[in-house]
Parts: sequence; C-alpha cells; structure tokens
Amino acid sequence: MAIQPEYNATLAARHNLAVSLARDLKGTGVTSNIVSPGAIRVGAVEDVLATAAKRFGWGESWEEIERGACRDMIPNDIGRLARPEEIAGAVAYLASAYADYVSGAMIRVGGGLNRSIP
Amino acid sequence: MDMLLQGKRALITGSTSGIGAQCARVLAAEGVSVIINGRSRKRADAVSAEIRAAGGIAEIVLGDVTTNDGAKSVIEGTRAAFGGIDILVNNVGNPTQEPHPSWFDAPLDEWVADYHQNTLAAVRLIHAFVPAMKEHGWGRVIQISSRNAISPHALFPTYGAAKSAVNNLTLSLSKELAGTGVTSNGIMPGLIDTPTLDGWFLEMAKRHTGTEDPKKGRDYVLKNIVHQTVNRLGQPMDIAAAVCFIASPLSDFMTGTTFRIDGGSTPTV
Repeated sequence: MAIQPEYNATLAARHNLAVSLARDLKGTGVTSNIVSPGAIRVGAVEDVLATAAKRFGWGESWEEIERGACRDMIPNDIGRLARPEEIAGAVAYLASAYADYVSGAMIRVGGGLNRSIP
Repeated sequence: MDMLLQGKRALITGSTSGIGAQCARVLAAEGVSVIINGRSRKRADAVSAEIRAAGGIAEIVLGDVTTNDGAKSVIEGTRAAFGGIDILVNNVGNPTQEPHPSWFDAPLDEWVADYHQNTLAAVRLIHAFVPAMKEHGWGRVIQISSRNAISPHALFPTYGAAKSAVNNLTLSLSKELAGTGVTSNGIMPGLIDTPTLDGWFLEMAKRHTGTEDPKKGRDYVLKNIVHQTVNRLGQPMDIAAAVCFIASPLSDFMTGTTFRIDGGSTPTV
C-alpha cells in the first residue's frame, strides 16, 4: 500500500529477519516463523472503516460497512474481516509441537486478500 | 535497438566502481547524461573520463548518500549540474560489516546502520527527486536490491532485512506513482564480481586452495558456494543491461516489480 510506506517497509524487514533467524536456529529445536494477517476486526480498524464508510457511502450498520469495505477496499475470498481469534489460531499452531517441521515460513491469514502466489 | 534514452538525465549512486559504474557507462552510451557519485575523487575521475572519451556526458557529484548531510550535498550538486533528473538508480548499498559467526552476533547498531545505508539512503533521494519527475510526467526509480531480500543469510541478517524493506518500498512507491508516468522497480542481484569482493576472493583462495590466487578463489566460490545454474560469476554488466532496459521508455508498462538476476541461485519460484 502507498499508505504508511515506512511502516510496511519495516514489516518486510521483520519478515526477512524472521527467515534469517530460522536459518541460524538450524538443529536447535527452536523455530522462527511469521503470521501475516489481513484486515482484522479490532477497534482501530472499525474506526477507520467507519470513517471510510461516510466517504464511500457504504451505510451505517457494521454489516453494511463490512460488505462495502470488502467490495471496495479489501476484496478477499471470505467476504469479511478476520476475527482476532483466527490470527491467534495460526499463532497457536506455530507455537505447538505440530509445527516442529515448519521453519522460516509465512502463514497468511488474510482471507485471500493477497492475489498472488508468493 | 534504440532504447529511446537520448537526452535523459540520471543519478546513479555509488557509481565510481562496480555495478554503479557499469550502469553509468551503459546509460551514457545510450545518450543519458549521468551523474557519477561516490566518495573517491580518483575513481570518479576515472569513470567520468572513460565516459567522456566515449562521447558521453558525465558530471561528478561526490558525497555519502547514507547520511543526511551527505545526501543533501549530493542532491544540491545534482540539481546544480543538471537541474533535475529523469532516472534515479539507488545503487549504494552493501552490508556494513563482515559476516558474523551467528545471527545473534550482529549488534543492534548494525541493524540501524544497515537500514541507513541500504534503505534510508534510497528514501532520501526519492523524496528529493521524484516529485519533479511526477510534474514532468515521466521518470524512473530503480533500486538495486539483493537476493538477500528474499533469501537472507543467517550470518549477515541486517543486510537482508534492509534490502527486504527496499523491495517493499519499491512496491509501495509504485502505487503512490500510479498514473504519473513515473515507475518504481528493482533488481535483486546475486553474487556479482566487483572490486569490493577482491579481498574475499583472496581469502577464499587462501582458506580453500592453499594459494593466494584470487582466480582460484573465484573458481572455488563458483563451484562450492553460489549454487547457480549459470556456470560463471555474475558481472556488473549483467545488472547494468537490465537497468538500461528498466530506465528506458520501453519498460513503461512495468512498475512495482523487483526481479532476480542471480545466475539461478535462488531455488524457488
């Protein structure tokens, strides 16, 4: 996004260091991975979308706002914003022994917001 | 092939040697007036003399773009020489330190230093020169990134992280530039045989071949370290040729892209 480019650049750097750290942790039993959320329904995001709703004429109820946002601003395959527990689910998986063989990986929890493969 | 670059003006940072110098030579040969930038007067003189002898236009603006004051003087010197530029090649960037024994040995100030050298150096110049490109309705911002941006090493993690940020800002900038005629793209070189690596090739020769022959060091690196599918080391011209294409109006439909020129050393899609 062109909005907050300095923030997004640092996220890319954080992603990169998580992968280089994974390389350094080879054979230690410690893994390093990334969870990459899309738009999550939390207070700050609801406020941003409520403001956008006035500008774009999406409506006033949260259902109307979410529908408008997913159509015009954050199109995704699921048609809504993520719930915080859905991000936590990915974190819980990576924190568990079930993810012992996952190293230097990124799990996108974005509802299909990213339209490319890598 | 006419690259349609005649009369354009370019600043290539770090162009007194290596990739930057070759970019300057190639662009100058296509009729671009180039600013030679770096910290060494002797090397800058040599590159600019070579370009002028070949009939090109080159002006020297010395300065360190990795600091605020240095970048300011380069910006002012470039404007004094050419008024403005049409093509910005953000080439300056290297790891600030040697590889460490482990990821954890890279101190915090090295993370900051690499971000300054590799990421913020580009941002300063983008701020200075791209608004005018937008006003003119045409321009090129070209980042020289690194394959470390997508395949980072554990032993110099600060560099890869900073280059990853460069890839990211290349894309965010392209979105900001939508519809302006100015594009933002990047190249991720693999290992390129430049003078900055001479000492390392010698070290490889001593450590692995029992000789002090840099050529043997290069052969060792090619055979045992880079894991390429192209059977030679990368050369500055490999990058400069791509820079020439991205700089040219022939690439008008290309923006927000960062692509690899690494001899096939990155094993993934």
